[in-house]
Order: sequence, then C-alpha cells, then structure tokens
Amino acid sequence: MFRLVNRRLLLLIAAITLLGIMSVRAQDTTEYVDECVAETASEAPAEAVAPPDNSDISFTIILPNPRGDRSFIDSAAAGAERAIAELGVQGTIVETAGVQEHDAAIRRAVQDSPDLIITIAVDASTIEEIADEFPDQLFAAQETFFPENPDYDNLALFNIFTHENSYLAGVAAGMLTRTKIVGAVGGGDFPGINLFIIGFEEGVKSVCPECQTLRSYVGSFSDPVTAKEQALNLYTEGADILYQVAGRSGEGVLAAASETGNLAIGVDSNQDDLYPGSIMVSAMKRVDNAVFGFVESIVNDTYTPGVTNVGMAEGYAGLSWDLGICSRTFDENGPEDLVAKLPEVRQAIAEARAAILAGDIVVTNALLEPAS
Amino acid sequence: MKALRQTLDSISIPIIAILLGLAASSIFVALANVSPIETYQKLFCEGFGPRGCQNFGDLLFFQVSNGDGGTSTVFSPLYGEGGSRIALLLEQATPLILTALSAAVAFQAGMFSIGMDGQFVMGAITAAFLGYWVPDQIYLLVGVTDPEAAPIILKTIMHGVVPLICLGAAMLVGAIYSWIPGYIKVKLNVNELISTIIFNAIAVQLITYLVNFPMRADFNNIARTRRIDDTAWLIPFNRGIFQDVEWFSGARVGVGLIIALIAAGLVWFYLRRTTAGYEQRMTRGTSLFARFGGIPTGRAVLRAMLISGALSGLAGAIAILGVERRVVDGFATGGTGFDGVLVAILAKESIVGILLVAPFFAGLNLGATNLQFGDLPRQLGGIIISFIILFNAMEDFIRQRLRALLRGRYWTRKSSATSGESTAV
Repeated sequence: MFRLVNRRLLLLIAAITLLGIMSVRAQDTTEYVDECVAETASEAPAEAVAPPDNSDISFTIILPNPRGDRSFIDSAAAGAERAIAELGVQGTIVETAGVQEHDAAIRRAVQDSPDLIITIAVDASTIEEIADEFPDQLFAAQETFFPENPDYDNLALFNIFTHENSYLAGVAAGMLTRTKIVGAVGGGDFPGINLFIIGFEEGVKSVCPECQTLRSYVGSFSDPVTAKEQALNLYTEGADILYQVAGRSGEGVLAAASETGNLAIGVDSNQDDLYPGSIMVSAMKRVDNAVFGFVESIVNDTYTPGVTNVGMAEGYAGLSWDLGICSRTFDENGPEDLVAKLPEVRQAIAEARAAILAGDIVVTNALLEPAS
Repeated sequence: MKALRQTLDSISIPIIAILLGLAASSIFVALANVSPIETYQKLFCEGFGPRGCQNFGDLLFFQVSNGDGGTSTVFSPLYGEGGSRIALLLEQATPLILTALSAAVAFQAGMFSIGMDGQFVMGAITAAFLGYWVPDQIYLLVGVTDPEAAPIILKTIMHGVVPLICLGAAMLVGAIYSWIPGYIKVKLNVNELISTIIFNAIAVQLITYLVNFPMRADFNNIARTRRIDDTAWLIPFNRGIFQDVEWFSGARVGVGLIIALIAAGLVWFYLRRTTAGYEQRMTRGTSLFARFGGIPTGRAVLRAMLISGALSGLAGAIAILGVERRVVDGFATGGTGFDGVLVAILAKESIVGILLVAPFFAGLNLGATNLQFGDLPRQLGGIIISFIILFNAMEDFIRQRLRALLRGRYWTRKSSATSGESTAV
C-alpha cells in the first residue's frame, strides 16, 4: 500500500519535471506552436439552435455562373444557404449561365422586390444602370470593382482584397519550391485577378529572391481544359508549384498538379481536400461571410450604402491553414521532405502576417494601382 | 371552310407537340423529385404570366388585391404593376425575330446558312464602335469640347442621324459577312453549312479579341468597350415615351421591336410579292429548272445572302443600340443567332410563324432561367425547352399519326391532298 502511493508520487514528480523541461525548451527555441491543435482539442460540439423567425425578410442572390466550381461561386452560395438556415430569412439563389444573363436575372429579381438583392461578380456598368433605374430597391454588390466609387443610396459595395493572403501563399510557395520556379494561372488579365497574382509573386520573392515566377491567363473562368493545358505547360517549363486564380477553370490546374506529381495552391474556398497531397494550401477569400454579412445587415437594420474594403485584417482573407479552418491535409498526404519543412514555413508565414498587419510589409494592391 | 380547317390544323399541331413535349419531360422533372405540374406552372408563369402569377389560370385572368382588402380581376397580359413579363419577353424576342427572318430568307433561297450568329455579333461590334466613334467625330468637327454642353439643336439632329448611320453600317457589315459564304458557294461550290459555321467561329474570336484589346475601355474586371454616346442610343420605351407606363418598367423593349416588325413586313413582301423573291424561291425549289427558265440562280442566291446578312447585322445593332449600349466580353458567345435559326425552323420559315414562335421561344427561355425564382433547378428548364422543340420539329410525324388516328372521322380529306405548304404564309 505504502509502496504503491510512493510509486504514484514518483510518477507525478517525474511527469511534472518532464513537462517543466519541455516548456523551458519550447521557450528557448521559439518553436512554432500550432494553434490549431489546441483549438480542435477545446472545441465543443456545436449545438443546433433553432433559427429565429425572419420569414418576412427576403433576399435574392445572383450568381455569375452555375454552381459547382468548388471555389468562389460555391462559397457565395454557401454563405447564402447559411444565412437562410441561421437567420431564418427567405432566400432565393439564382444561378446564371454567364455574363449575357446577368442583366435579365437582376431585372427579374427586382420584380419580386425582395428586401435585398445581392449580386456576385456582376459587371459594374450593369449594376450602376440598374441601381439608377430602381432607386427603391436595395442592392449589395460583392466582387464588383468600380473604376470610380459609385454613389447610390441603394447600393452597398463590398470588396475583399486578397493581395495579402496571396502574399502569404507566395511565402509558402517560395520556401517549398524545389526547382526555384513557381507560377500562377489566372482566369483573365485584369486587376481583379492580378491582385492575387502580384501579391503572390511578391510573397515568393520575399523569401526566395532568386526564384523565377511564371504567369499564364486562361481567358475564362469556366474552361478547366484550357487551364489544365496551360498548367501542364508551366510544369514542363520547370515550375513545381502553381497558384490557381481561375474559378472553375482552376480545377484543371489542380488536376494537372495531381497528375504530374507537382503542387498547386487553391483559391477562394478550402480546396486542400480535392487532391490530397497535391494542394499544399488554399488562399481563402471568405465570400460566404460577406454574403452572410449582407443578409445580417438587413435583419439587424444596419444596411449602409457605400463602399467597404476589407482584407486579411478583418478576417475576410486568409489561408486554409489558419485558425478556424485548420486544414492539415497536406501534412498528412504531402511529400515527406516538404512536410518536414512545414513548421518552419508556418513560422515564416506567421511573421509575415504580423508584419503585414503592423504595416511593416506593404503588398501591392493591383486594384488600387491598376498600372502595376 | 378550307381556310378555317387549315388554320385549325396549323395551330392545333404545335399545341399538341407542346403538350407531348411537356409529357415527355415530366419524366425528368419527376426524377428531380419535384412535381411536374408545379414546374410547368412556374415555367409558364415566369415566362408569360403577370407578377405574382401562381397557376395556369393566372396567365389569362388574375386576382389583384386593391387597397381596401378586396380583390379585382384583371386581364393578365395587360396587367403591368411593377413591370410586365410580356415586356421582358418582347425585349428578348426582338433580336430573335430579326435573326429568324434572316434565316428564313437564306433558307428560302435553298441556302442552309446558319451564319446568323457571326453576322449578328459583327453587326453588334460595328454598331458599338460607331456608336461612340461617330459622335466623337461630329463633336470634333463642330468644335464642341464638352459633349454635355453641346447645343440642343445639334443633339437633336445627331439623335436622328447617328443611330441611322450605326444601323446602316451594321447591316452593311452583316451583309458582306454573309455574302462571302454565298459567293464561295456559287463560284466554288463550297458547302454553305460548313463555311458559315467557320465564319461564326471567326467572328466570335475576332470580337473577343477586339473587346479585350483594341476596343477595351477601362480596367473593368470584365473587358468591355466604351459605352455608346447618348445620341446613338435607341432609348427604350421605359426611359422614353412610355416612361410613366408601368407595364414597360424594367424592360428595355423599344424602337427595335417596331423595326423588327417592319422588317418582317418587308421580308414577306419581298419573298411573296416581288420578282426577286420569286426568283430565289424558284432557285430553292428546282435550281436547274429555274436556270433553264432564265432565272440567274447565282445572283438570286447572292441577293438572298446579302438580305439575310443585313437582317442579322441589324439584329446585332439593335441589341447594342437599344439594349446593351456596349459590348461586354462574353456577349459574342450568347448564341442569339443560333436561337434565331431554331425559331425559323420551328416556324417553318413562315413570316407569321416567326412572329408567333419568337416571343413564345423567348418566353420559354425566360421561364426556364427564372425557374430558380421558384426554388426549382434551372437545368429542368433547359430539358423542358429541348423536349418542346424536339416534338415541334416532329410536326409532320405527329400530323400523320393524328390523321391515321382520326381517319374514320376525317370525312372528305384525302391524306394525299395534304401538302407541307399548308402552313407557309
């Protein structure tokens, strides 16, 4: 009996000592601490809460292309669905087949006079004309970049700037590339896409100044076949990591990465699980949160017209590795030599993030400086 | 009596075909786990019904609640509170009528030209370019530096002249673009089906290039050309003369529709009442015999192709000057020209038929896209439309079967006496 207690006491003392040593060592080497591990441990199972009844509030969301891109459009639709489920409002999700249908779809939506019409990536001229024509209808535009900020009492604009999280993705790519060549495949050559690509390239150069960066533009957001061809070309040219910024076309880039055994970086949604081990990280843009926020602003009666610019600081842009998503697919499926480097990479990203948020690093914003 | 029976015949067959199409597509609708009847009600309500339309009955008469809680019955097509869908439908039908006329003229010269799409976008880009270039030149010539401050008299004159220049130039470009396949058909016997498909592809690529590079206006996310000058704008009814008529609210139907109707009248006159029209129809019927009879068949074909191209070019110009006011990247791949070919075939190339089928087709399209406003998947709309078109294309087959079914009661009619021409006007 006495011996038993004694042994337990000894074990306890040993454990405490061990813990003490470990904690001291952790402090010594400033080793990267993965916040995600702590978070998943403490996460309580979410309780199902019955949504409040806001069925007298309605909104319509116009998507620029059919769903199923597993990226940007699906993210917007997910935000709308979450708003319907959690806020208890009436929502109509409208897919269009392309730019030629946007106008007609919005005009049709106006006929139902919902409390809010949310447009996703609809062209600025279309929105301006319709907002001008129907002054009594509230509009919210997401992903529409106006050459000059519009001034309508019935139009709220929400811009998510993604140059900073693209920079972080660039840091990861610059540190993990074996060939010292990385590339980006964009949907089209215009500021909204170059915002991502320029940020990414700056991130790459910041950790790997001798690295070469390649670019390729698909010219379409719904052409995975062409995108795949272009990605295969870039891989042949020696690139081993490609950043895709091309909506549904980007699926072709991801597929090319998986086929050739190279790596890709996903965009907008968390795409890490599409080809486990081939997609190292995704540069996420929380379109879903923006859509949800729009609907919430109607429910809470806080709708304000005008332009809102957000980015990484406000939590609308980030990486799939971040807290809240904590994707660790690449850690489990990626090539061993690269996985071994990941703690170091995450450390560098954490530092870069802090520097950006503190203003020590300024990433070029291609939308505000179109000439770049 | 014969005329009555013929009219009945030409109306009843398409209706039966539509019903058959709906019946066939209901399999797929049921597979998608939604009620077919509900889907069809939604489809027709969205396409043709008044705002708030719930069932088939509402398509004709509609209960509207007036202020004091009571209701009154209104005739649905005229009900325009918050904008009529018929007006939206007419906006969409305008280019369809013109491209269908274009197809009909080509077909009736024996040319199976499907180049309407290419001619349409070529006309559109011409109008979009001249829509801002011509006013610029005029301002420069007159010495006005600020177009906003231009004298009213100048603006009024320009309002009359500039759209005409744009429309005329677009017709010319469309005509030339259609003449080339016609010419190589007549001289080199190159199959017009193949050459017009190629020409469509070239036009679409060319416009994508023009919009993305030389004519690109700004750093907008989607490439676009400059907006046409206000003096080139064919102001739609809801912004112009019928500003206060709520029926037109939201729809950009305008002068273009009137132009399309006039064009339909002229095409009918040309085909049925002029020597040239007779020549080209003879060429189609029996080309060798026509040539033997002294008809210059080559010239008749080329003339038909020129008229056909001009009509498609006109459609493109109206789409820009009246509706879009600029060409946006992606406009060229919309496929309006192909829809026009489809309308012409469904209407059996008859002018009256085109005027009926084009709005119907536009309404179906509208209804199919807008199924989503009733929480139904948009793909269902495409399936239903396809089936309706398929069964309409089987018109002759349905007519024969129907005859066989009704033979006992079809007294005097001999089956050999029925000709396919009965529906042509």
